[in-house]
Amino acid sequence: MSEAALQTVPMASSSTARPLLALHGIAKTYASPDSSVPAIESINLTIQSGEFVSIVGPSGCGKSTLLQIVAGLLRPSAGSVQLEERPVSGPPEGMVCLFQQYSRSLFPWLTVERNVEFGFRHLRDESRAAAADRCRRFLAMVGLEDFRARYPWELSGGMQQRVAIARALAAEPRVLLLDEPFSSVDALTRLELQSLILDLWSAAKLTIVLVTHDVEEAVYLSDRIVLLTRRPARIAEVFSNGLPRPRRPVESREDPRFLSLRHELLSRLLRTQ
Amino acid sequence: MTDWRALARTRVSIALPGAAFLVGWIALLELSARNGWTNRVFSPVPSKIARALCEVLATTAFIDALASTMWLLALGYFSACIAGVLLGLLMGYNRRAYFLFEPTLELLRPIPKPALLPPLILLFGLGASMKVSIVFLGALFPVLINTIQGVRSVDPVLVDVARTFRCGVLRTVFRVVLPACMPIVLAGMRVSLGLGLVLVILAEMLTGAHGLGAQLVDAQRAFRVQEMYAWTVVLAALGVALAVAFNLVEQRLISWSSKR
Repeated sequence: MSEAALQTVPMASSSTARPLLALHGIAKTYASPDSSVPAIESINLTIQSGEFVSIVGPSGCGKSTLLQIVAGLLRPSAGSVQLEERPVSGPPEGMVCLFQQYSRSLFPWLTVERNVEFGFRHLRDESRAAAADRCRRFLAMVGLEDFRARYPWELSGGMQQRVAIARALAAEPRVLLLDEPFSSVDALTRLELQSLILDLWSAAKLTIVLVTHDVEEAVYLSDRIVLLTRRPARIAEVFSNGLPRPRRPVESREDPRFLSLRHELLSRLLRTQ
Repeated sequence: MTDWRALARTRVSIALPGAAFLVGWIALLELSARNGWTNRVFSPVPSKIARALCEVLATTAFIDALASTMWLLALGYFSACIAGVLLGLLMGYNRRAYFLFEPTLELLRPIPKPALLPPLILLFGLGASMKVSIVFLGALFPVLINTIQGVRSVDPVLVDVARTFRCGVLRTVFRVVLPACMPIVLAGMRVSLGLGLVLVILAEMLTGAHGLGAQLVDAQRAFRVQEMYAWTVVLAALGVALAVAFNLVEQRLISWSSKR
């Protein structure tokens, strides 16, 4: 990946001390005719610009539901989400969600280039040449500039997720929401994609909220880790991560700070399970 | 590596019995007519049909009839495809629109479409507009039903992708939902094309003025029996040609869906 390509991403302003993203008393209840099932109960959380925050919790606890609410894809039963102090009522400008199922989230009838273009073409007044140039730049960032004319189904799973990442970044969001984005690729590809996301995060001054069930992934990537309880999900505890940056895929995972946080999170999770 | 010769041999051995049966059947028709085993006047005689076919194909009446039939079929079929897709997208995407139109459609859908010919003749007369209408009504339902089904079967993740990139309703429907359900829509269009051909020929047979159906009935009424069979062969060829053309278009449009 070239450094020059990374630096072309505009910087998000991070001068304000006010939170970029704020969750106030978020609750979600699924109502059926004879009962109502609470999925999420009063979640309060603030996220600063440039932060990398992970949300972990036992499987089925409602963490993906929470992310969908933050993304504006799902309405909460109570509470509100604010992005830069404006309430989120639908998918807001400057925020993009990356889905877990990359093979289902790319359009199989479009080439890789057209898939990337889909994310921004309708939002900016750009010439065809400028749009093609933007696609090339963002595909170069994920190392896929030579696969522009291919179709998603011609690529491996890891490459498909890279296309989805390029498409998300080409829309130039300030906030990127990741819903277990690396859970369905093999272990080695997962490490590569994690490093890629860290590079892109620091280069583009992104704010990232990651939902994952993988504790090591959360510790390796993030600044803070939000541990959720079992259903109905509440915040059990928020951990600050003292693991120094830049993180290195092998060495960081052997750091005593990594190991102790991983230990703490895993034992807490196993107890709530 | 594929052994192309072995593959070709397999294909020949699969196709051979079918071809042999067909040739045998044609030979039997010829023999039975010549030897008087069947009715000498009305039975098909392959050699005479072939001669009548050559004569028919050389006439301008053939070109006129073919052009007339194809034109009416195209008008009715393409307008049914457009209307079926648009209404199907609306009904599949919007619950209120679905419940508004659904009872009417469920009432009209089970009517065997030829039963609509008598009222349509009263309403539109014997001309082109009646024939286009019957093709339209017949071809509409398979496209419409399949489009509604297709919209509902679209992966919600694709729609969420469109939403997270802040696509409006029109962009979501025409750039995401419609392409995603195209395989199902095209399956409906294939059924509609066959139905449309049946209905345009039937309408022409009833009115007997222009088109391939009219030529078929004319030949029968004038006891030009072998010519009548020749027109039947023409219609068979037209049916095959339409199916082949449809396959080519389908392959171009949704080649991605088989490779995925």
